[in-house]
Amino acid sequence: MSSLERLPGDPDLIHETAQALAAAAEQLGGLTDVVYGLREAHWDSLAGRQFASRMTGPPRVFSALVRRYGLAAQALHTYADAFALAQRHSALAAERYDLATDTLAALWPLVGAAGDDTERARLQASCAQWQQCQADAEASWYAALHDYRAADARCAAQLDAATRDAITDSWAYQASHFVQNEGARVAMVGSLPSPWTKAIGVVAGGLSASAMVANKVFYDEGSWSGIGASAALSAVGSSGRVLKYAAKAGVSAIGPAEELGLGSRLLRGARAEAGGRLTAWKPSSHVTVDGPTFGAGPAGRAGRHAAPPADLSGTKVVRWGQVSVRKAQAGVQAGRDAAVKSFEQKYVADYRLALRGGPEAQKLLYGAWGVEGGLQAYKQAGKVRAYVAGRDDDRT
Amino acid sequence: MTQMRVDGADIQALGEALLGVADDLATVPTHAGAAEGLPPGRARGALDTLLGNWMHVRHETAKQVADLGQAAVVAGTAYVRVEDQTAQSLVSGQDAP
Repeated sequence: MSSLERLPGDPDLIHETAQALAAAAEQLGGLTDVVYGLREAHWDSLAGRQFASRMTGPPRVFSALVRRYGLAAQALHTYADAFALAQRHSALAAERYDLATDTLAALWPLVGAAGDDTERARLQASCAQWQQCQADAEASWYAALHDYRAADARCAAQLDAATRDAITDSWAYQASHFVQNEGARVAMVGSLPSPWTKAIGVVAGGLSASAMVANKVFYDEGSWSGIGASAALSAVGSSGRVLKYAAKAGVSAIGPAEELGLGSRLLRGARAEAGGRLTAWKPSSHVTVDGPTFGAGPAGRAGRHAAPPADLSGTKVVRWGQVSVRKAQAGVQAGRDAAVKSFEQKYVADYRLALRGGPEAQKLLYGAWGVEGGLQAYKQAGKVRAYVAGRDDDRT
Repeated sequence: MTQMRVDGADIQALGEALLGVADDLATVPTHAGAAEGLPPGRARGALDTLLGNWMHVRHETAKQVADLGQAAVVAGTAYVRVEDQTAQSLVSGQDAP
C-alpha cells in the first residue's frame, strides 16, 4: 500500500469559484455604472448639490469591489491550473511509488530463494533498480507537493494584495463577527449529552453572545431582543480566557506552529476553559470539615481571583491612587520600565504567539482583548502590532 | 439670485433607482463557504478574508444608498406636488398653499 497520498482538492471547483467571483465583479460593475450615471442626473438646487456631495462614497466602494473580485477571480484561475498540474504529478508519482513498492515486495523473497549466485546477483540488481525507481517517485511526489505549496502561497499573496483596499472592515469589527459566528458553531457541541460537551457548549455560547453584544453596541447590528433571549450570556465572564486559549492553541514558544482551523482553535479554547470549570466544580475532595477551601465549587472559583496572594517580601502594596507618588519617587525611567514590562506581560507575549499561529489566531486574540477590556483594549492592538514590528525590525 | 433647475419626476426616478441599487448591493453574493472549495492551505484563508471582510462596509453603503434614494423619492414627490399645486393656483388665480 502506498504511503504517498494524492493531493486533496478539486481544481474544477476552484475554477467554478473563480467564475462565480468574476460574475459578481460584473454585477458590481453594473451597479457602479448605474450609480455614476445617477450622479450626472440634473438636480441643480441647494438640495441637489448636497445630494451630489453625498453620492461620492458609494461609487468608490463599488469600484473597489469590482477590482477586488476581479483580481481574486484571476488569481484563482491561475491557482486552479497550477494545482491541477501538481495534483496530476503527485498522482503519477504515487502510482510509480506503489508499483515499485509492490514489485520490491515480490522480488525480495525471490532473492532469498535464488538457486545460485548468478541468479541472486541478477535479482539484487533488479531490486536496486526498483529501489531507485521508488526513490525517484518519492522525490517527484515531494516536488509536486512543493509546487502545490508554492502555488498556494502565490495565490494567498495575490488575494491578500487584492484585499488591501479602502473597503476592508476594521479588524475590531472582523474579530467581533468572527467570534460571534465561530462561537455559535462550537456552542452546538453542547447539545451532545456529556458533561464535557455541555460545559464547552455553555462557554462557547457565552462567547458568541458577548460578541453579539459588541456588534450591537459598536456597530448597531442585530437586535437587543435577540441578545436578551440568549441564556448563554451567563458565561460571558469567561469568554476572554477562552479566546486567549484558542489564539495560542497549537503554538509554543519553540518549535513549529500547528496548523489549526478556526473551529479546532475555539474548540480547544472552550475545552480548556470548560476543563477549568469542571475542575473547579469538583465537589468533596476540596471540602474539609472546617468548610470549603479555595477551589471548592463555584464560590471557590471566584475566591481564587478575589483573594490575591500575600506579599511575602514585606513591601507595601501600592494601590492605584498611590501609583503617581510611587512613580515620582522611583523616577521617570523606572516608571517607563514598569510600563513597558506591564505592556509586554499583558499584551505582547500573547500577541507574539498569536502571530505565529496566523491571522485567525490574531483575530481570536483581538476578540479576547475586546471581550476583556472593551473598546480601549481593542484599540491597544494597533499599539501592540507596531511595538512588536519595531522590536522585530531591531533584531534583524 | 437663487437659481433652481429641478425636474421632480426625474428626481423621483433617481431615488427609485438608488433604492434598487441598495437592494442589489444587499444581494451581491457573499460566497459564504466558497473558500471551502479550495484545498486546505493559505489561499483558502486568504479567500475567506477577501470575501468576508467588507460586511460592515456593505451594510453601511447599502444603508447610505437607500437613505439617499429615499431622500430623492421624497424630494421628487414634493417637487412634483408643489409644481402641480402652483400651476393649478396660477390657473385659478388663487395663492399657492
